[in-house]
Amino acid sequence: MQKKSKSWSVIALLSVVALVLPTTQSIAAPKGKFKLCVALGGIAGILGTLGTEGDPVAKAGAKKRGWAYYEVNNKLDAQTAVKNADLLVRQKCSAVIMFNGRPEVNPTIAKKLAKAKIPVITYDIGQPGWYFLGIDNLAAGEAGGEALGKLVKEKWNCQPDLVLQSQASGAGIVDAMRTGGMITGMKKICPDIPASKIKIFEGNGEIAVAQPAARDILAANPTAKKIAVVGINDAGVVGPALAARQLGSDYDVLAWGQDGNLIAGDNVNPDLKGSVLYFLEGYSAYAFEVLDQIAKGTPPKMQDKATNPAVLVKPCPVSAAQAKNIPIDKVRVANLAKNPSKTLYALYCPK
Amino acid sequence: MSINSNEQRRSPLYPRRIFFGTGDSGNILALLILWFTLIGASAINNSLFLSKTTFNAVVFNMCILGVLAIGQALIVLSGGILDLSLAVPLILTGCLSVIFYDRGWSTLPLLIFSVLISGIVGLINAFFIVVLKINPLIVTLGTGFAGGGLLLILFDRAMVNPESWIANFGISYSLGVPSAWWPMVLFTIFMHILIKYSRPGRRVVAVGGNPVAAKVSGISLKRYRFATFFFASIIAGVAGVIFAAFTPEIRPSSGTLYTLPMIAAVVLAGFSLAGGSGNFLALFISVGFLSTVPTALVFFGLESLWEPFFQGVILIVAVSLDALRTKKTVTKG
Amino acid sequence: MASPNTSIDSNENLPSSLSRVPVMEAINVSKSFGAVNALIEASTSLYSGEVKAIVGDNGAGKSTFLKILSGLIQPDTGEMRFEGNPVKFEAPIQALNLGIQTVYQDLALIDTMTATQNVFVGREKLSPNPLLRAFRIVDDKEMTANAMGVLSELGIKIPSLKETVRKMSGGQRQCLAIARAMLFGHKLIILDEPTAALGVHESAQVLTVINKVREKGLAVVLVSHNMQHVFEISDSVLVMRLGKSIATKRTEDSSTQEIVGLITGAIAP
Ligand SMILES: Nc1ncnc2c1ncn2[C@@H]1O[C@H](COP(=O)(O)OP(=O)(O)O)[C@@H](O)[C@H]1O
Ligand SMILES: [Mg+2]
Repeated sequence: MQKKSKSWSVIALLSVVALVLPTTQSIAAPKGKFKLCVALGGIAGILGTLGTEGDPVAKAGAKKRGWAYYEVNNKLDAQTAVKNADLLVRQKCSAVIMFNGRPEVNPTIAKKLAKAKIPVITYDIGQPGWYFLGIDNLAAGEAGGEALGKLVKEKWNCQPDLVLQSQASGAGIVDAMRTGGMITGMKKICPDIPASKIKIFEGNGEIAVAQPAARDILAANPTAKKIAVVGINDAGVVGPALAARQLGSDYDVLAWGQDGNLIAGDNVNPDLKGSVLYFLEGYSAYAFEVLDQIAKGTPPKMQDKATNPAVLVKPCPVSAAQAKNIPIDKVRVANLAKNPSKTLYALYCPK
Repeated sequence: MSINSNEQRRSPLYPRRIFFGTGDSGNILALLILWFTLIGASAINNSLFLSKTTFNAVVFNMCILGVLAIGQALIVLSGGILDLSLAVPLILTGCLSVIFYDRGWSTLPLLIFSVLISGIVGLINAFFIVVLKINPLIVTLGTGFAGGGLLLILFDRAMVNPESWIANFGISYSLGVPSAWWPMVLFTIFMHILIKYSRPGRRVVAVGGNPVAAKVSGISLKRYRFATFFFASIIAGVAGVIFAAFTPEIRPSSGTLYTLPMIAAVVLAGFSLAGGSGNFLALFISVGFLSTVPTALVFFGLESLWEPFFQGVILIVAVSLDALRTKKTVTKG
Repeated sequence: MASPNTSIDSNENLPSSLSRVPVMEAINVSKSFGAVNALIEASTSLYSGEVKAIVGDNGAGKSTFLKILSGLIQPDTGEMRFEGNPVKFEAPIQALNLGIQTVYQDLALIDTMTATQNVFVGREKLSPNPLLRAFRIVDDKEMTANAMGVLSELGIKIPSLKETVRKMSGGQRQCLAIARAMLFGHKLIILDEPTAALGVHESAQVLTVINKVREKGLAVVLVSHNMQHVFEISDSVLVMRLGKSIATKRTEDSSTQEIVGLITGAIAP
């Protein structure tokens, strides 16, 4: 066999290749002006345009208020996120909006920013000492569940053969609120669905996991043909819906997702009857509730937990038909930037 | 004893041990017993287990894993130890097929090109292994890691058009079974014939069994290393087409889901990690068994959360059997 | 007609060979590995129907010399001739193609393959059926018959040609390796310590096989540390010392004392 010789240097080289230099965008800051800084997440699919293409809403809001503006991208990379924290301190930001998909380094980043006395607003990922801004997961779950319940009542007279609950236990409390909330919401419409008909399984919010797991459950319940599906996100319910398609044409599936990833945009999944939109790309419209108070010198009291948030974003349940009339996230966010006093919910959620 | 047809029958001094023997037929029989025991136990537990739906569910479970395991087995057989980067061609092919589809390519060239381009991953592996003489395990760990990261940066996610041929392939049936099963079946037959009865196959085994002996017999190690790593990537690319057919939203991180199961399948099938021995029919049964486990678990009322646990246990048991096999023959020799 | 290189092997006194061109010659061949001079102007001539034994202390350069003869490594300087014509081997395959076969010390066989497969590794016979041939399908029947033929010709006994060779004894493995060499090496067989690590009975078996190979008219060159074996099997002995070929003796005209003296340096060449 070959001898390992230059192996470690090669691995080091490869890891360096995997890293990408951070990119920045800014409005120049005259001295003494309030300076808003945004650290983007770096993954488009899960974060929408907020991931990669900048945050025009925060930028427009800052401009309207006469603030300076500075933006970095965490690139979904822990090291980059830590480096960016140093950059934000050097930039003397007055406040930071943080979206970091690698929360394991958040304590490090928090220490650096706290030392420079820079207040932080975090999106969806809790960190002690940072204002928590996020979707109201419980409301999102219940709203989706109610919408699905109405369909189940209408089509099956509240008598599905099986309810598949595609959970992602790794997401912890968020999963409990969303998938649990969907069951709660559905039971508001159809209170008599027995617990024995609800099958909870691990789908990890991922088609590649949820699909085979659901296939096996369907095989183990061969008489069940009317299937309702709830889950932590769209992918988590599309997987089971597709599993039923694979196993035969005699299945009737009602799948309602969360997060709207697979219902709006260019490739709408035909298996989704509806989803709940969070309008993630418009979060920054809500952030100004906190930012304006910080700028005034009267910061609000610290609320840093998902269970005790500083700002809750209102979720918006939409059916597949309604979703067709909602433009893609790029258009939405551009429109919001033009109307900085509104939210995406106000602009786009079907009444 | 001398060489004549009478002596060709096996001598009693060299019996084929069912569980620990190197004889292929013994191994296949042992795996079949294992598989049927699982099926039997599941059927006794719940007679509904023996249904066409269960059969199809298991078959669907086999499709991606089976093809990937064949690629991995080729690496193991040829003495490449393991290719830990096969998730990269898997995802790359899936993403490329989406990109080419969105650009209006027709099905056949789209499939051929996405699979061929993924072969590059294997060539990169072979380059580091053959030219720079680095341990394959370290090379493929590195390319798997870097490749996975790069895919995340390049693609983020890919959305398979529900109208496309690929999406339809994922739910269609041919000759009464899921269409996506056939690649695995055909690859198994092809590889079995290639390895057992063809000249290049014999040389793959020789290179894996004793590279120095193969070299002094005039076989080019470099050529065979390049070929095996290239074809393993190509095969993983075909698995990537099936992955795209099953997964409307392809996420680069999903590829690693298969790494452990495919190694478990190869080792359980009796492929020696030392290289040079293994049988592709046994691999088929091994994949069948491993694909029945999650379905059976559900019938036994265990959550799918238990699946990784059982896969891990099976891997350890299989590796221990492999070690035992090797030890036995060493002490015998 | 006098051989053009009798002067090179000055110690050689082989009336029977003078009229013949050697199968293989190495003339003043040198090879160093970094600072180690493994071979220093070593020379030898190998004739068909004759067994040459190479003897010498550990590190004398015997294995290196064999590797150069088999094309596995290339000499730094010096000349190689095959049947009188200069040759330069860049890879073992070139030597193989000329009918030169080597049995290496421990790496002769592939444990996971059967006896037949081992015999034909790298030289698999393709099926006569043109369609199967196009798909590179091998002809196992023909190969097994061929292997059986050469094994019985050499009187080699092996339990089954269809079992992996892993379970065979050391003697059986060595004989099988020699049989393979004979099947393809129609000119020269090179053996590195063929009886090392073998018992008395198994060594005798191997020597019998080597004797049969000589009777077939092939040239044989082997390395051995066992003087008894050397005197039993060889026609001439090449003594190596510190990388040099210091003497070549006709076996029948020499004695163990003389050879051992040459090896240790007690007797001057
Ligand atoms: N590949 C190699 N690299 C470095 N040194 C070598 C190599 N092969 C042989 N040598 C050295 O060359 C000398 C002769 O070795 P060798 O031909 O194996 O001797 P022998 O077979 O007579 O014991 C020794 O000193 C050995 O260490
Ligand atoms: Mg030696």
